[in-house]
Amino acid sequence: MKNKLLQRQVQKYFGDLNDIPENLMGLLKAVSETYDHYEKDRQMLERSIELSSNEMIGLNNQLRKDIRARIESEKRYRLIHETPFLGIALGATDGVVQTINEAFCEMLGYTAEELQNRHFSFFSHPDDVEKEQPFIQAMNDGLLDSYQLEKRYITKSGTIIWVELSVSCAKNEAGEIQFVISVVQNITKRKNAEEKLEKSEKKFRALIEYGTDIVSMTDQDSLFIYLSPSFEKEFGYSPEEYLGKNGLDFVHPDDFPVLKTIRENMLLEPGKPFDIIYRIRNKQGKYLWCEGVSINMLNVDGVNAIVSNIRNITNRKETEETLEVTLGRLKQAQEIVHLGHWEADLQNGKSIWSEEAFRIYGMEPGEVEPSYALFMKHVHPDDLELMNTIAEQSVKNFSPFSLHHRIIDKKGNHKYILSVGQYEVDKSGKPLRLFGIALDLTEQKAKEEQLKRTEANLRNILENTETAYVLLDTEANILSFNKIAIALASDEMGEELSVGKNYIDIMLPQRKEDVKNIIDRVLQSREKISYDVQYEHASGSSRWLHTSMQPILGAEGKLLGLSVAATDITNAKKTEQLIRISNERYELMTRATNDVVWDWDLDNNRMYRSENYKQVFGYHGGNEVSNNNAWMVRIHEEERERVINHINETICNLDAVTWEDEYRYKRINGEYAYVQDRGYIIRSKSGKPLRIVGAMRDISIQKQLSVEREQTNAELIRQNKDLEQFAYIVSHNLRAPVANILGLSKVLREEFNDEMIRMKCLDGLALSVTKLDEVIIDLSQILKIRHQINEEKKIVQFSTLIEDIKTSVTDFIHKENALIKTNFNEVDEIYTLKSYLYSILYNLITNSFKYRNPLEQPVIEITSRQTNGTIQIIVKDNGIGIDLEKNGSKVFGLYKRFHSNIEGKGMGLFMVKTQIETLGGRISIKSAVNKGTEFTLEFEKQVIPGNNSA
Amino acid sequence: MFINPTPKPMNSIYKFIVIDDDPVNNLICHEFIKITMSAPYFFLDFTSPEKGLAYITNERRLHADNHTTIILLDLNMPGMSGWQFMEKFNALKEEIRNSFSVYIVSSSINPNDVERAANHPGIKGYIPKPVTEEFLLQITNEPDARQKSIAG
Repeated sequence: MKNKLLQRQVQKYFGDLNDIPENLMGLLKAVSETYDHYEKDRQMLERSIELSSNEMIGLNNQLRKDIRARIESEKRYRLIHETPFLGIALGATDGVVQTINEAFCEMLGYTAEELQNRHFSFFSHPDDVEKEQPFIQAMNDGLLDSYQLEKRYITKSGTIIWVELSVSCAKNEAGEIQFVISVVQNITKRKNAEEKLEKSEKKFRALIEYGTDIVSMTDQDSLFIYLSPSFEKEFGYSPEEYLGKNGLDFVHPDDFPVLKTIRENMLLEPGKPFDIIYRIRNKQGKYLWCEGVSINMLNVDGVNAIVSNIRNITNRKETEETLEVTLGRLKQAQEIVHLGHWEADLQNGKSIWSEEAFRIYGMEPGEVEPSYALFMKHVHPDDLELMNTIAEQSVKNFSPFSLHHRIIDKKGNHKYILSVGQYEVDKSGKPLRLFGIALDLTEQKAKEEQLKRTEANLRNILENTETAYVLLDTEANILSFNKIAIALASDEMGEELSVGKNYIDIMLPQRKEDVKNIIDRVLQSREKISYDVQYEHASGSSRWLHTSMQPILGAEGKLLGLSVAATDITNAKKTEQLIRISNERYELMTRATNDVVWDWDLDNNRMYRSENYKQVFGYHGGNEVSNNNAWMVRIHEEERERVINHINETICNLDAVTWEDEYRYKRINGEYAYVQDRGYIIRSKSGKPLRIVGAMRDISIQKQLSVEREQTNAELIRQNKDLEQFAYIVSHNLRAPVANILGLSKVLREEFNDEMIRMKCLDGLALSVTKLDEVIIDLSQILKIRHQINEEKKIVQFSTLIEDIKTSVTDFIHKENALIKTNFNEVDEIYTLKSYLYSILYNLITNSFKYRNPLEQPVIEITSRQTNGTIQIIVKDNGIGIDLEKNGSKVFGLYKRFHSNIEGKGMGLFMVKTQIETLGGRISIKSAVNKGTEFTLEFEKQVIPGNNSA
Repeated sequence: MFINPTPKPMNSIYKFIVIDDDPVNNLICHEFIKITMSAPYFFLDFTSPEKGLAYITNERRLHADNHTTIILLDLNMPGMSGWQFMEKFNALKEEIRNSFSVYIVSSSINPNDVERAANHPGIKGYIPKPVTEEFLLQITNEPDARQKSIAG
């Protein structure tokens, strides 16, 4: 027995199955199959109901789910409450009821006694008695053992019930019918449902046929079997164009994968509805969005298809998209302004917060169950009292409220919130709901704070200046001012500034007209006007104000008023005046001096020089600014590097304050001026040199004087030396004979001197006196050389001069076989004093003869040379020479003798030197003992006046 | 001008050596020594300083502490000046040097020369020419013969 439920029922009425006679088992088996069949039907029915609920499908998923849930619960209900109690009756072949069970009685509403011995026609519907008659006849005739039939009974109360009747006959061994068993099942409800179904099917068919929904049926290969006419209406295809075609041919390729998956699942789960949404191409080639539901009913008899109910939702889709965009924007807008909304159902105490409301409180939307407590929990402790007060007030008469308060959100951030709330009250005045918004003002608050700070800062700046500010409207009424302005107005006008006063009114009477004009001009021209004004005081002092008026323009250039700024510039004016005076003084000073005053801007290498630059050096550029490179170029090239290095070193030395140098500076005419240049270095605090201010003085004249002075000094020193020589002469050469005379005269005075000694002394006296005379003559000669340059210079030819000297020493030349060689090829003449040159050369030649080497022929070589600006005469001999290492410094000294064995008083070389120096020349000597002596005479080559040929 | 006396040599006589290129000066010196010195003395003069130096270097009889010899030296001489002479003299052995007292007798009254002589080791005095009795008496500590005779 397959059906467990039936099994239980049979057991209830018949006891253990094993006790049931075999033929009865066959009956029960049949009943069981019927029961199974019935189950199948019922499923079919349910499916049909589901299918027929198509009018609802497509509204939305939720609804469908609800329906499905209801169907499920109904199923369960039926299983519980509609358990089919089988009525069973045993009767005779004539149709008279012999035994009848309780379920049967219940079904019909009669008691068992009332039905005892009644013919079944007693409670059967008259129409059905006749219908059953053939079956009874056939059974009685032995043609069949059992039959089933749906028929109607009439209950005691007169209502008609449908039953499913199964009749079986129990035969004896002879095959005679002994009794008949009737098993009935009340199928009234099913029958009614079937009727309903029939009715609804008509309705649905109409819906299908005439509705906009499209019903499609495809076989398992997705080929169209049926499509409702609406398909043609919506998509324009005629049945010939789609019947037998593959449904996927009409679907958007992008939707294939989804549809394929759904189809596979559908094949696995027959009877389960699947939501589908995809695009179908219409005849014009346009894809239209469709939504619907598909059910695999391939295995449902009479359907055997995949049934889909779809509708064109293109319009809705578009609307939805628009709505989605709109909603998205709303959400975005809420997010942007941080506006959250909330409501509290005062009936059940439940709260709803919007997503943004959660975010404001630092939470993820839906993170926790919102509540009034949650709201209060985040209120800033300092605002809690205020919040409670307002809540209390508001709840008294359910008035709307609005307040700013702070919260500490879940993340610990402090936020400024505007909370607005309102009650929804019913007719009786009972509050139903409290709803409102929460607006996060933290950012605005921060901006506001910032603005306040900025304002405070600006105010501070305004108050922290030396400038008086007054703000006026277009009528010159005072709008605002700072403290300095108050003080200034009080000091200068004796007026007190106050908002609303007219600015012109507070001006001094004599200023009113001017100020009014200026204000009018500023307002008219919309341009700033600045001017200086002097306020004379009774005390005799005065105050200078620099005033500027500037128009204030608002948005779109609208004139709002003007600002007046006045700065006390009395000191600046004084300074200006001082500067002017000092400048004038400076100008006058530079005019009075030869110093070129300069100001060198090191950063830009710009040089300012005073006007007299031109006067002193000839260059333009005085009293104007120019590049300073020319300065370096004009420094004498021999000194340029030194001067530039020195000034650079000085500038780089952070301790150096002044720079000073002397150098030659080129004048415009190419001559060099000697300048003394001094500069004061101006540095920044860090020591960086910024400017050098200095004065350049032309000291050429002083320099020339100083050169002359040096020459004079040198001359003096030389003369001093000469004087020393004189002193020496006095101390020695002049005194020596004198001392001798003194000594001798003393000796002579002695009485005891013998004649011999007297004679010796007298000889000595004579010798000493002669010597003394010689010295005096020498001295006078020296003095003559020094002081008697009366002779005129002329051109002297060396060759002629030497010939003259040769003539005068001709005796010696003959006696000693001396040789004088000359070579004057290079230069043969010199512009000089002839007698001096004669004397010089005569002395040198005789000197050479005097100190000749007695073993050799005396040879004197005299040559002339001409170099850059000088003429040299070289006199070289082969004499005994002088030990210069020993006597070098004394060679040219007066009365210096180096050879005791040769007559001489040391006058020659001294005289030579004196004469050469008098001619402005020099003499030098090269000599060694027994190697001869070489004198080099050097004279400046002199310009010969009036002799162009030279 | 300065004079440091030279004490009379023990068991000996005064010895004078004059070195000057001027023979007249040498004559004057000799005559004044004659006039001044009452006791016997030794006198020698050189007009060549080189020869004078050679003599005092080589004459061994002069080389003894108790035989002090007075040298009267001129400064300005050709060939070898008085200063050059002193350089050579100072190079001699000490015992030789110690047997001589050098006095500069020069015509120079140049204070530089006097100062130089005063700072020169080995020079005991400087006098400008001509030599006088007073000078000789001072260096020798001899009693003034004439005063003596006058007094006597």
